[in-house]
Amino acid sequence: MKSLLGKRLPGILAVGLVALAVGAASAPASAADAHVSGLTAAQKKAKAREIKKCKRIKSASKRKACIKKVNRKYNRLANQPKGEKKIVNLGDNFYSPDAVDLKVNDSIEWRWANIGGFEPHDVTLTTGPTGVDRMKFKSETTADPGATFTRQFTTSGKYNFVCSLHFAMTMTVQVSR
Amino acid sequence: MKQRLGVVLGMVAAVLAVTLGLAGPASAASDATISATALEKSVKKAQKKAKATCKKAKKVSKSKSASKKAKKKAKKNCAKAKKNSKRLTNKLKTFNAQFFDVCKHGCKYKTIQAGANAAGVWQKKNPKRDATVRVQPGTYVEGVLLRGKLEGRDYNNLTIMGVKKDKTSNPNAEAVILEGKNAQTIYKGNSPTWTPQDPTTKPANNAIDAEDIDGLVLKNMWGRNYLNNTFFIWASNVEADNSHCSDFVMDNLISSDTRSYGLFSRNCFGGKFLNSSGWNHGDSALYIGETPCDDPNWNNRGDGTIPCQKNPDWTIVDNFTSHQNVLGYSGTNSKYVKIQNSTFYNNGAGIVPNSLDTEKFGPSGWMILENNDIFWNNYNYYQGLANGSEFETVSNGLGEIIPGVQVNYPTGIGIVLYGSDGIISRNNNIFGHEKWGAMAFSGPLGANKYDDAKNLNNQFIDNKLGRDGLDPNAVDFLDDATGGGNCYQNNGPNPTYVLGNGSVPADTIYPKSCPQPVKLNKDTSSLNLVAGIQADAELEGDDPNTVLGYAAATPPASMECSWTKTTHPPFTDADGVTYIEKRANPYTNCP
Repeated sequence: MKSLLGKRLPGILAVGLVALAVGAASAPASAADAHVSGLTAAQKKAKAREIKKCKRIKSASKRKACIKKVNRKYNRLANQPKGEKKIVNLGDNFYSPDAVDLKVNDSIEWRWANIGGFEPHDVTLTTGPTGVDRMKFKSETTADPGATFTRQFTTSGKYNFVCSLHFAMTMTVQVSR
Repeated sequence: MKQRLGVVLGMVAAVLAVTLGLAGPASAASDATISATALEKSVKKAQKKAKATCKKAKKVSKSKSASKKAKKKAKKNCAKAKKNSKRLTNKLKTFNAQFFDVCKHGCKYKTIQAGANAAGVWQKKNPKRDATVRVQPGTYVEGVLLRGKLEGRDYNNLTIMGVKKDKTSNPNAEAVILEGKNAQTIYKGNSPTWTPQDPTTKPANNAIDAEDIDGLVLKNMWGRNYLNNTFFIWASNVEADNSHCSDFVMDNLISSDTRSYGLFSRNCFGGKFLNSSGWNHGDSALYIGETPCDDPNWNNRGDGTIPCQKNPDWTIVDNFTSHQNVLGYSGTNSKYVKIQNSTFYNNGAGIVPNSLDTEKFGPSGWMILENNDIFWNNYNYYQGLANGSEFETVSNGLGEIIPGVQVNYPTGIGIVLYGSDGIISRNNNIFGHEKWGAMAFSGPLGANKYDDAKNLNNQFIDNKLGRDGLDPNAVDFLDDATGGGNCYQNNGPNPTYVLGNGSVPADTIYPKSCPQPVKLNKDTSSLNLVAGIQADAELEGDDPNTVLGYAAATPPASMECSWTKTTHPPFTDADGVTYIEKRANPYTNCP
């Protein structure tokens, strides 16, 4: 009983019952741009937590090393070259837009806001450029309208995404230098 | 001699039972718990004996009157008793290592997630043994995330079960509540895809979300109020994920008031749904989707010689009760599912296998629906919460399929077979439906990309209709005269049929002997505008006696306008359970 609505049945044949077909109204293909800068709130929180953990270490040298390591880690994250952020909306059963062109270091924020709350969906990388870790490009599977998923693209090439529950729900990202 | 043989056999059985208890499958957790109690008793007994024996030995050694031989013997007995006590203590320690106790106060783990994590780590280190997470009575506000791909953990064959305070299996599922209101799921450390830029926790979508795990057992729990599903076991259908799910058991579970689905499996081989129930879901209380095939490119458009699974791994639904949901059961592209001894009542529609492009391995089919009570599925949830419905659909339910024609989920029907092939509905008790008792129809060209949602080879046999006239269906059967190979044998008494415009003989649409010669997808059509059952001749979608016209009722709550309203006396089933009808307020704006 999933969404059939994405489909417009040609004229008459629509009889289809579609009864079962539910459907989702098309989500707006909004694509706003924004700058990515510094650490995200979640990263800042994570950093503070890790520093706090380091401070609990009794040995001074180890404590110092730990703090240094954490700082280095988050400096690396914060100082990544900045790029543009594009928005992709998820719906039942589509990504909008379903093709995005990016420059290296740009990012995409996928949003579940217009999903309708019916079917759970996710973002799963099926194929990408050599060296890209697929697992780091996989969101949770959710129908929560508040959910978002952001990833930066630091390697040029073509990325193919799919919803791991809906094999026909696909999108591509082309990243160029 | 016979008696002695019996004793020997009994001893052998006892030894085997203990052995199996120590290394048996997780599903035998309740038995194992009992064995643990027995073992604990043995340990206490051995310790007591050792203490007494050694005390005696000490006394003897101090005694001047005791012989040297007696002293030696007493010392030996003491050592022996101590050794036995130590052996049993170690045995108990090893045995208990497989249990991970969760409770609010006094247990090592306070959340089910924490218990499951520890169990997953333990199973990874002990690959030949299966762990059990024993959850004691209480309310657990959390969403549990289990991922088969997570490094350092192994969740295969894990059992998560509600237990009593004494740690034995708790048949009262309501004692362990997984509460979705204000619940969070911890992603950091539990999801292999988590990165530092992601939030550590997120609102809980599911009570238990298990991906890529074989043999998971969930037992004795009640999950409610989740954002998406309650108990969700699945595998990714992305080939590169190499994800697999099979042979799970969901036993004695309750799901209620969750937004979409209650007990939910997807892309899994086999599995069991036993002794469970669900109500107030925005879709179905029970959903089985996308049964995988041996060949990922399988379809039913060939010559019919290659089945989806050569040796089918059946999914069994037994003793499931589903009421007050949009659908009692739904399954898109599911196959090899047997639903038996179950009850579907007071839903929008009862049992609804369906074929859609949204999932792989279409169409649905090769199922058995047997010995079920299916009644009063007349809940007009389209009336909304403001008009007496206790739940609402999450599907938005509307779509303009052709200009001016909106299509919705049908209501007032017991069994809905949409584009299904080879489903046997046998010996079910179907009554009190105010539209149709059972319907079987196709999705015509365009509804399904490859036109494989066809009404093929379905059999209705020996179904009992209308409670012997006490609580009839408005009409017992609708077949849209598409596809072929369907049959309607020995249903009764006095079955009634939707006959459309009468241009196609009733015996052609509803052959009375089963099975009929098998019809293949490639030789049949999903469209029949001649019989006047699929749609009216003008395709205006306004004739509620046709499939399209009924599903396109506007507003959808007005489907009720074409119902035959009857009173439904209380029903007591074979187990002595009495059911009362529940429905939303009646729709009052009929023309």
